Amino acid sequence: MIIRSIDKKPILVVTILSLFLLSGCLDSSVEIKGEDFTFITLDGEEKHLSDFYGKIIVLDLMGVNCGPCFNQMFELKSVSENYSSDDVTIISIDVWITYGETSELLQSYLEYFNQELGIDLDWIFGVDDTEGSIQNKYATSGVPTLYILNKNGKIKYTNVGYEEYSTLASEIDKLLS
Amino acid sequence: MKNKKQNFLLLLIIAGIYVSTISVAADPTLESFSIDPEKPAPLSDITVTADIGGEGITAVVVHIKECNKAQGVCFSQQSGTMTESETEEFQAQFTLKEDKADYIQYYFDITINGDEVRLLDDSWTIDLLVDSNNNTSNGDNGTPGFELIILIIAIGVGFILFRKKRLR
Repeated sequence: MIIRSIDKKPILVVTILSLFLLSGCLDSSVEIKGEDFTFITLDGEEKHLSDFYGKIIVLDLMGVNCGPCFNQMFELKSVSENYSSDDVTIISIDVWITYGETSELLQSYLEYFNQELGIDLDWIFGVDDTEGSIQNKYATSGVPTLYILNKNGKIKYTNVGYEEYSTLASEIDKLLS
Repeated sequence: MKNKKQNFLLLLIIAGIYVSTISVAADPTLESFSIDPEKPAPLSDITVTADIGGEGITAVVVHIKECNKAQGVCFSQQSGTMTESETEEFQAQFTLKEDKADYIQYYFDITINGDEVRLLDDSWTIDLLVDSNNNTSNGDNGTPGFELIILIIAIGVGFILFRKKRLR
């Protein structure tokens, strides 16, 4: 009996430790590959998300008539200014096409930033289709919704709502290191 | 000569009035806006009433966005054609759809003299009546992780087994 109690103790300790260690291996934040999608740029070109793999992608799902999305542009501009386009691609997609927004409206939005505010939003802009294919996959919780994807197209960061440059930069730096 | 001068002046005045009339008609303005109830709760029914100034208005569409300030997000947008009431104000009814919204923002598309004009101002917002305890959780923060639950179960099982052994 004494022998049995001695045997059980280490087994018990090992079991508890194993469970604890194993649970650490079961990462609750499952790595998701960004599902590919098609969008039309303001130049009228058809592009796919996968066309931009090979660089870190900051994906901004937005709406023109969305106040927080407007504020988000300033933070994305900071990203654009502080990171090389060789390393980071920013893509802003208007997913409020389902609410009647158009590529013409988006174009006038960029012109407003350029002409009235003196800010050149010098990254890729595009629009969702009228069925909201991208909105239904990537922006179901509202806009802006931001994703940062690594060079392999895997989603490494998500945020619903306005996000400050400092947080975006921190996430990008992790992927660049 | 005097008559010619007078006629010319009269023509100028008439032209001025005509041009200013056109200018007024081409630029509708939001004279007033109200919402019933005054501070609606999320998911409630609302009636919006707008007094739009301007001549030649044939259609008014109001767009309502439901947003959350702290989260800095707008969830969705609804649009509705407003009907003109007896008091010449425009009204539309909506049912708010977003339980996490704490304010709404509105703007208008107005058809005036055949042209469509957008009336939009960032300050046109209405706060919603929200429960002060209704904090939105941001994804994984604040909920125990899977790893912690496993650890607690493991410790619990270990404790039970240890106690059983001690009682023998």
